Amino acid sequence: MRPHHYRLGAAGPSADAIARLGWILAAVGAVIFAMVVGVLAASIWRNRHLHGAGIQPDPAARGEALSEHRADRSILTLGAVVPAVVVALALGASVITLGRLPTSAGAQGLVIDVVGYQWWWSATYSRAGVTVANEIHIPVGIPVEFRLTSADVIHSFWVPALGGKTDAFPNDLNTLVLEADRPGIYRGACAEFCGLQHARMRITVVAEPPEQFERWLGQQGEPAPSEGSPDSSPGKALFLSSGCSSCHVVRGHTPPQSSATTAGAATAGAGDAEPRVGPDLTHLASRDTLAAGTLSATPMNLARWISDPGRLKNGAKMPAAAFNDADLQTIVRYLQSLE
Amino acid sequence: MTDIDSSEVPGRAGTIAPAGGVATPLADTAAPTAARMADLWADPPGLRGRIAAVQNDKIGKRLLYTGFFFLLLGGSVDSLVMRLQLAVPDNDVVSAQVYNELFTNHGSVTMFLVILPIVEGFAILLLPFLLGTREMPFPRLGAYSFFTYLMGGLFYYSSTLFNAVPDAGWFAYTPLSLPEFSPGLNLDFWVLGLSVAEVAAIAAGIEIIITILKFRAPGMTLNRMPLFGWAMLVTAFMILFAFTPLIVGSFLLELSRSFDMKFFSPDHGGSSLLWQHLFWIFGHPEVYIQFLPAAGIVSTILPVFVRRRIAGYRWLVAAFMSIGFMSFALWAHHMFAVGLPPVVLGFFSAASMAIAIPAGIQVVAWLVTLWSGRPVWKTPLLFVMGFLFTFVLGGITGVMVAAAPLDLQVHDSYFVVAHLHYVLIGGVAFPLFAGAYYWLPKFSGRLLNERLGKWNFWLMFVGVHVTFFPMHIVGLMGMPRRVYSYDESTGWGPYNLASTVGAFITFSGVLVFLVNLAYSRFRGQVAGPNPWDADTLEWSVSSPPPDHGFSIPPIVTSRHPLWDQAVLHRGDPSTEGLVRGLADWPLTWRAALMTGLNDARPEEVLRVPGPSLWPFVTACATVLFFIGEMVHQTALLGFAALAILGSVIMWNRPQVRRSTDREDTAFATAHGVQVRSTGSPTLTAWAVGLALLVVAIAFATFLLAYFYLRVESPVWPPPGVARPALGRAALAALAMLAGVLTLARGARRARHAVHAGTDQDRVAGKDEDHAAAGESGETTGEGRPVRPRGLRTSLAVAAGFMAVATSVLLADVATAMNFSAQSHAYGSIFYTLVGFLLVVAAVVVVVDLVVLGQVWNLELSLAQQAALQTVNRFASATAVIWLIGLATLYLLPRLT
Repeated sequence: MRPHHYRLGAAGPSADAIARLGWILAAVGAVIFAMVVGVLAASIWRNRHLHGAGIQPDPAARGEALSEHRADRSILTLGAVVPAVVVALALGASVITLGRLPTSAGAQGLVIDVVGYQWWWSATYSRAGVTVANEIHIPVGIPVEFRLTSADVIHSFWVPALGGKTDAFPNDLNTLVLEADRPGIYRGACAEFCGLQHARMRITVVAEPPEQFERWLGQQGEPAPSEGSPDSSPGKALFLSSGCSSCHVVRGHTPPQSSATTAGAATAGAGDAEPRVGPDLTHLASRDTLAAGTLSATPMNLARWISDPGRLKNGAKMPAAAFNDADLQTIVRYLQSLE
Repeated sequence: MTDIDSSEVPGRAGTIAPAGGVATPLADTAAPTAARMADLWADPPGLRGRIAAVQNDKIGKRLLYTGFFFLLLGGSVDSLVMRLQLAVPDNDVVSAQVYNELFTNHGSVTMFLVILPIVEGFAILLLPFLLGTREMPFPRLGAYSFFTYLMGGLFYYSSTLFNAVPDAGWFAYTPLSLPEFSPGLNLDFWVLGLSVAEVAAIAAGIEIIITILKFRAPGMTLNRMPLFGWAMLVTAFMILFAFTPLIVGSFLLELSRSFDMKFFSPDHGGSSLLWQHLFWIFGHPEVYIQFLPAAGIVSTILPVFVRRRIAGYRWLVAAFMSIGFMSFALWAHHMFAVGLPPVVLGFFSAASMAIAIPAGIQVVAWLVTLWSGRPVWKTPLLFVMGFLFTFVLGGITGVMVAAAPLDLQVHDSYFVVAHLHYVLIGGVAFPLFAGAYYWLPKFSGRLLNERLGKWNFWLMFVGVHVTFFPMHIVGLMGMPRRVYSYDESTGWGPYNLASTVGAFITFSGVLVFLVNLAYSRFRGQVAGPNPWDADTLEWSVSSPPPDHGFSIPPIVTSRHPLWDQAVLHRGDPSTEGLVRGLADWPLTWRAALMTGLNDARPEEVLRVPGPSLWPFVTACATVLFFIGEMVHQTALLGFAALAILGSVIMWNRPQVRRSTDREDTAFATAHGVQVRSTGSPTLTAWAVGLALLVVAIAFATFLLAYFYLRVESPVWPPPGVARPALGRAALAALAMLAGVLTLARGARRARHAVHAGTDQDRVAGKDEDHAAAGESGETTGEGRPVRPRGLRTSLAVAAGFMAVATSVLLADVATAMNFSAQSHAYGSIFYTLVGFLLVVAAVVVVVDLVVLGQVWNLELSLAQQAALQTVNRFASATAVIWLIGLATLYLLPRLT
């Protein structure tokens, strides 16, 4: 499926309501602008014969053509009353729209806990015990409550086709309720400048029919494919022994105590007391992109990424891994097996 | 003869400044009056003379040139590189790091180092001419403002040399700007370099307010003041109310960065949103601080080029003022996406949209003026037309982004980039260019070329729309701001390419302006005094004007004096006598005329200070102070603080007298005004009042931070922290109160004594009996010395009480607290507020002692009496601050 690009009002009730408001305001604005330009043009037109009049004024022409009283009256009506009426209407429209934006997903809704990190997103479907990164699946026609927070600086969660954005703060919780009207792949991004790779902190939302979504969720809820595939088991050992698992979880493979969510267990870079947290990789191979939308998920890109993340996404918190070629192939094969 | 203290600048040829203090011309005593006047107002020669220059034309021009220089650097070069990077998808002209530095720099420089100094430069350059006065009241403050601005800007830019260019955006949101995420000095350069420039802005703001309110030509009632004056009056007040909170906010940020304080650290009870509030309380008014002067320029220029009086003068004044007030009530529209409750969203939406009403009034007033006029198509009018066209579009998108739901979509997208550039380039830069084409000939003596001017305009006009219109669309397509790169699949490429092309077209327009400046300098047509047949006073003097502007201050009887008044020096006999008298006397000191706040009746002939190196020294010390803070060198900090104190005292020390009591009194008697040949107590009172306003705003901002943190915290003080004990705080408050009351009593008695003494008989002309004393004595300053009883005791006892108060409070926080400023946000704000109280009290004690030294011989001249009233006012304000501050810190936690 081709990623869907945003035009106002693309794919959800929130985005629709906002788009309608946007078009109304733009239309009113266009009328006002046309009026102003009309008056400007008319002023120039009616005085066109005087263009060559030069800088020396006719002393008799000084003073006002419009009496002060009439001028004041036009300023009052056109300058104060008309804008006041327009503004009142615009405010009314925007308050009504504000009321239409849902603030909770209701009983049948889905809750997804989203945490922003420099520079990627983690999303947890706590009901199903599933954690994914950067690619978030949602069911079509069901409101989804995103509970947003941040692990470091302020981020902002924005998927324009579905609705407005909301900031994710450290130590604070914001909620954003979005709903997709129809299936599609909707692109989004972090909208609050959050440091070096703010530009590479993208979001993909995949809206699917509910049955398909449930299937996906069920599949994601499974632990990683068990060792059976002879291809992947050396890779798993390498993954566990070479430190990857201090930041990354592969449910069913990584031991729980080294899970990234357990503070202190995660050994981090030099002198860094904070646990380093990386995306959950349990079903990495089911995703389309790597590094928050930086790369498409091909084996080649995966290998490039593992060997030097900083070259592809300068400043990325993941350290470069010193694998030899054979080990790199092994790791990539292992990760590719995590479907 | 010059007006320079011998210690500052060597005497000019032909004059000496003898140790005795009364300058005596060596020769040329019979020189024509005009030549002596010109000589009096001229700068001393050489480099030292240039540094010492304080005159408004010089300072104003320097601000304009420096602002334009920073525009080329930060406004143009940065944006062109950014546009090259974004021209095509997945481009790699610059790295992510460099791109982030570029947009941080672009925003910070244009907001703090370009538009604001240019606006203040126009004000300082033009206001004395527009208002018909010779000089601004505190020329040395203007010079200080320029040097701090220049050096602050260079300090900021020096980050390039240390490879520590700020990179957290011009808004520097916490926690991204805290050391955890921004180690290195990058953000320290940002905070400190720009704080220096902010200090400069406040200094200029105070200067501008007093000029407008007290230095207008006789007869120029407020109702006759040029609209640029009104716009700058509102702007200058806004600068005080907006920049002071920003400086306080920056101070808190720097404390967080350098001393690990926790105001903005969510893990320690701080709030990252507090910074956003503090920043946008400044940040939104800042937009109107830039726009209002532009509106003032348009309102001044438009009538000249359509040959009609401005329509709706009073409406425009009302609009300026309501924009000034309203702009402080809509900062949160920059924060619609942070998760505010719907009621708050609605309120700030309404407030933000409501500003369309005063904006509408302005636009219609200009349109009505234009409708009834006969346009003369010179470049300034083209820019005004371009302004109307572009600004209205920016205003419409402004109402759109004010609608909270829509803003949730377009906030931090390129739609907002488009909106703000329409407003700032269309609404501010175009009028500034109009102003440059209009007014530069006045000061260079040569017109700019019209053909080049038209090229300049059309290139910029087309370029701006080609650059920024596509950004609306690409923003609606979902392109976020501040991204260094985007995928081809986004479909944003063509729009970005158009923007890049437009940026280069715009820049070519700027280059044409540069060419035009050079052309004008060497080949420009001679302007003559009034090339536009304009209506305001600056066009009544030659181009370029003499340093002192008006030999004979004009008398104004109309809003458009040059259109309506055949003669500028005709008025009621006493005023006419006064202004004509001022052409001949004094010729030994720089005299300006102070007039009534509203009616502009002459009140005082007062001396404005001449050239001095001390503003420059003070500016150096100020920058040194901020550098010391950045590199954490306590010794450097202390040295700089002492240098600031010392150089401010040197800059303000009493001036050597240059006219005798007899002369002063003769002039005063003849013309019915006060003559203040050593400085004006009225002026001092104004300056003190505005300085206290700044202190009060700063204090209010600290309190706001305190209460914000308190409201955001579930437990206050935090668990484990005892509520502060009342005993010593109460003792300190009582001691402070006792000190302030003692001082007030002494000052009141001194005032009574002075009123009974010289001041009245000076006006009455009973000067015979002390004329001899005046002739002989600079020591007594002005008038017969007064000897109020008990003054020394009052000052000494007051200083003692206040010192006790300071020590008790200091002892309390040093010993009794079981937490530190680093423990949590409560500790940080507690110690910061106490620190503020201590610093304010310590300053008052020092000033009290300085005044005590001045009145030690118990002879209270006018200047010393002014100093006494100053310390008294400061002390009263300190008492209020202490009571509120101590009650907040010690009492309130017990009441809840």
